[in-house]
Amino acid sequence: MYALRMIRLLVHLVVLLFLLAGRLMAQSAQHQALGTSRLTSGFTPQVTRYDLVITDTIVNYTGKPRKAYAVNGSIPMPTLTFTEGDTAMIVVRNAMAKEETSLHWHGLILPYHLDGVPYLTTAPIKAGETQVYKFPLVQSGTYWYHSHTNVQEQNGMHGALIIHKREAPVMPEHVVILSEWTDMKPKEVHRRLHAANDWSAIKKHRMRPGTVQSYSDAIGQRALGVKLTNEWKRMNAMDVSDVYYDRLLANGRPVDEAPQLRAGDQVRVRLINGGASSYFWITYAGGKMTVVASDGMDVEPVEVDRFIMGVAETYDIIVTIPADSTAYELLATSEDRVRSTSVWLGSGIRQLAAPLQPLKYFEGMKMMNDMMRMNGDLDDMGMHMSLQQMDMNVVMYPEITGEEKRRGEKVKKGGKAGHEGYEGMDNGNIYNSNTLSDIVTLNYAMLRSPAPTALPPGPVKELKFTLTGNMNRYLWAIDNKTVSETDRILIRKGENVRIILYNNSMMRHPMHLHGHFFRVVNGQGDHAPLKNVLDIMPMETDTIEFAATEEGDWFFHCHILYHMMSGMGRVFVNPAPEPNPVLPDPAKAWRHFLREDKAWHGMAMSDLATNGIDGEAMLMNKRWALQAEWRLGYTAMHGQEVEAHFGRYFGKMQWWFPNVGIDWRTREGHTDSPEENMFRQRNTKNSRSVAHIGFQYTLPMLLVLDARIDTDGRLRTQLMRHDIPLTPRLRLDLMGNSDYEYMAGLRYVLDKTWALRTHYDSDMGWGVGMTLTY
Amino acid sequence: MCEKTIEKAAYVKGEAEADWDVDAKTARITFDSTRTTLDAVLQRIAHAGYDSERYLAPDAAYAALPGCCQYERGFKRKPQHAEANAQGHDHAGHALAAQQPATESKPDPLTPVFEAYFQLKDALVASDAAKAKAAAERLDAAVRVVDMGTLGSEVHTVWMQVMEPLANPAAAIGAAKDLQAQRKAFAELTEPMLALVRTRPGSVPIYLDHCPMYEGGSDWLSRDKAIRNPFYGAQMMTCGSVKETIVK
Repeated sequence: MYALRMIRLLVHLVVLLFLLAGRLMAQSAQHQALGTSRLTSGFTPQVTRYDLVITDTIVNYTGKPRKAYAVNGSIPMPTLTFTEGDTAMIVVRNAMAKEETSLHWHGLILPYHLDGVPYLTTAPIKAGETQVYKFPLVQSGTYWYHSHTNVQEQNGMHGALIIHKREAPVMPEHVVILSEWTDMKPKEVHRRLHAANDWSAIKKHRMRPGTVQSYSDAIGQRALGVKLTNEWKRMNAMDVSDVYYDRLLANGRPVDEAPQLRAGDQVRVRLINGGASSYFWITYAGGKMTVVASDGMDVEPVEVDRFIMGVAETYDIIVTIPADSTAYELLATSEDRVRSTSVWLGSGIRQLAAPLQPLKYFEGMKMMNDMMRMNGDLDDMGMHMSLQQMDMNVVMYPEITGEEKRRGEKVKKGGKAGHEGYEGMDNGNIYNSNTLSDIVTLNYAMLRSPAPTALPPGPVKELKFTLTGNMNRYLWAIDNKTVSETDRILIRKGENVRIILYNNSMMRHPMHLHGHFFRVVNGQGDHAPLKNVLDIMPMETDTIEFAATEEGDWFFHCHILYHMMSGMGRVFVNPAPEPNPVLPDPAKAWRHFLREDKAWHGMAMSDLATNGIDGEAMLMNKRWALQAEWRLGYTAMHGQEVEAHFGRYFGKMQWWFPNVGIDWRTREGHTDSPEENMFRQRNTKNSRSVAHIGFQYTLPMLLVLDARIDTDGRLRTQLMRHDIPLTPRLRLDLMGNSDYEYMAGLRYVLDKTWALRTHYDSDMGWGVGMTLTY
Repeated sequence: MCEKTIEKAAYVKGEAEADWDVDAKTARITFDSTRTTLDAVLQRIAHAGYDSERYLAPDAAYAALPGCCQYERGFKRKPQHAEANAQGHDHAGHALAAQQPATESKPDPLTPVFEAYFQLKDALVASDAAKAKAAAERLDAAVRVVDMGTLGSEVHTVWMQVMEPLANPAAAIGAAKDLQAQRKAFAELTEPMLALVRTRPGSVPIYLDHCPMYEGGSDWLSRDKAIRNPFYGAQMMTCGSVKETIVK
């Protein structure tokens, strides 16, 4: 067995080496097109080798031991440092007992079968297996590497990968990889997102009041109308980011340090957003920051006060240590402003950076109300937004648009002195952060490549992608189709591919292309910057283009881990003359790859009360769901009822849910209840055993209308609304139907699993108990 | 007021509290070491605007303190100029440049006027009558030697209007017998000086400060954001507030 594995490995290696030799030529073509520094003659390329051993381990960030992944015993994974022109040789051993894994070299130009997307381009690294990745380094800059398997990236499998230019670095450097930590298992995080569970918001609310956007918050802010309009337009509480994190980390620690730096030093900080779903704002206590590179590629230096890092983006900045015996805070704050992590540059007394003030959530909701059409489409009101220049979120930023209005208090205006507010401004400029305040915020229009990046002449293949999705069911897609619902997109060598992206969803998305750099068409002409991740905000339209120089399969996807897992992406295929050497059965591998966004998720909720047990459970994937409901009384008089339905969600907002089901109930001793339903049909509440067909539709105010007809020809319509957030933790449930049944309940959320509940049910009467949520 | 701010910033129920001693300018901090750290408490105090031996307040937090709560930031180190200046990245570098705003070949004829005014102000802050007298005499002289031919037409117009209002109080301060009389005359300088400052806002801000108490409310000009009251000196050093920032 062992011998066999060794032979397989050897074959593997030989094949890899053979293929690599043939690829060097093609590689250098793209390399030159990219305009990176040319290899200087007169050096001997070297092979730099790293051995990585992946294990699972127990970590403790918050006082609670949790499972995580470590490489060579380290979280984040060790920083791999190379020099441009050399060859990387990375030997990866999966020392875990059962789990398979993978490593993707993010931003690197390399042969597709080494790209590390399991089943798409590369074989997964099975438990106990070793794989060798060997490729020439045809670029320089700040990159990273991470697992592309399931949600492993969230729990430690991310690390920095730095490729230095051949010339010696001219100033001190500090590498910082930012990440998040959640005590909840990432798989559970994913499952709960699909169940529209807002426990994350309640957790955030403890740090930043207002996050839940409950009715009590709305009244406190005198924004009840805003909240009502929000629900009228079928929006749940607005999420700036979906997941609650217990810690934010810089290089795996809550606080990172670079004490070796001295006054007057300039330092190049290589920042990597290795988070799974968090955007980070970067600010510095020691003055302006000069941005010199993004996603590994140099840009012409631009001085800013702050910038936001999308998930998976990298930025190189140069900052100065102004004074002696002082450490300056480089502050990374999550976009929801719930937590931050710091890097102290220098040593001595610590100069703090100004913290980012809490978001004005109701201003954001008001803005979304204006932008949201009744059908769920977004309306940019003719502003032609692009390249992060007009940031709708500025309405929520106190440092740009002034302090939040509180009861009886006058508004304190922030921003530019003498500014009279929005009224006199051009439509659109009201969202331009840099005209609204003296704070200079980086946007993509400010990035300019020092070298020309124009594509070689060739036919253009133009694609239009509309990014779509909904929070309710956590479906994220392109043109309302997930990866598994579409075919690969064929591109050919010699072609230039232009993608026009429009974000018609309520969230921003960091879109990442594997194996290529794309030009961000941003008004800089031939000097458009090269990137491999593009953050696109709601309502923005951005154009990116690249030359199809690389053969093989290349994943293009949203880099928010949970959006990618939900299927937000496409695969480009640039036909390779040879079959993939590491995936011998391509059809089977492709099917396996598509499993990711076809996953089924379960959720369940049940009340254990004095008047009975009632609850619901659901098993669902992105389009289909199997629902079950039960009301089980303790006595024959209260009776028992169970129903189940199976159906499919339609539309990108998924408000329609036609379904078929069964309904069974029995009870005894009732003569007082109405004999007929609202449709003058005889009631069968005492004994029923039928199948039915019907639909559910989500109405404005998030009311769910359920209409059905059963095999006995009886009609039933029902209106219900669960989980109305009266206060952050107090929730109201309401239901009424044409059988003259009704229910009202109050639930007080204790933690992610338990809630106190009292309810009145027309059949079961008053009850008090506990609700269990899975 | 400052005491309240500090103690409120430090306080977390069951975790930490501070007791600020105004005279000794020290805080006694009590905290539960199983639940928090001294660093966490000091960070909160710094975020409220107060430096300590471990943390410096963000500049914005310090600037947001009311004038009478602003203090001398003894813990803060001076930025190193030399190297940074050469690379054009230093902000303090601008401050040096702005004191001699015109190009080297053509020195600004009004610079000596400004210099003398700010020296006079500093002398009054220090309650030093002799120094104030000397500075006032320099101001008087500086006003009289300005070569009007070198002024731009706009500045020239203003200068014609402020010359007398500047020279008279300056002479009065020089002749005054005590601080009280000097300060009264100094208050009259603010209006003409302000008119002059407005003709040439520089990249370094000049602050128009306001003292609500002196003579029913009086203003003065300063180059420092921190309030240092020339009308009362040590008696009420940090009384006042920034009324306006004049900057290009």
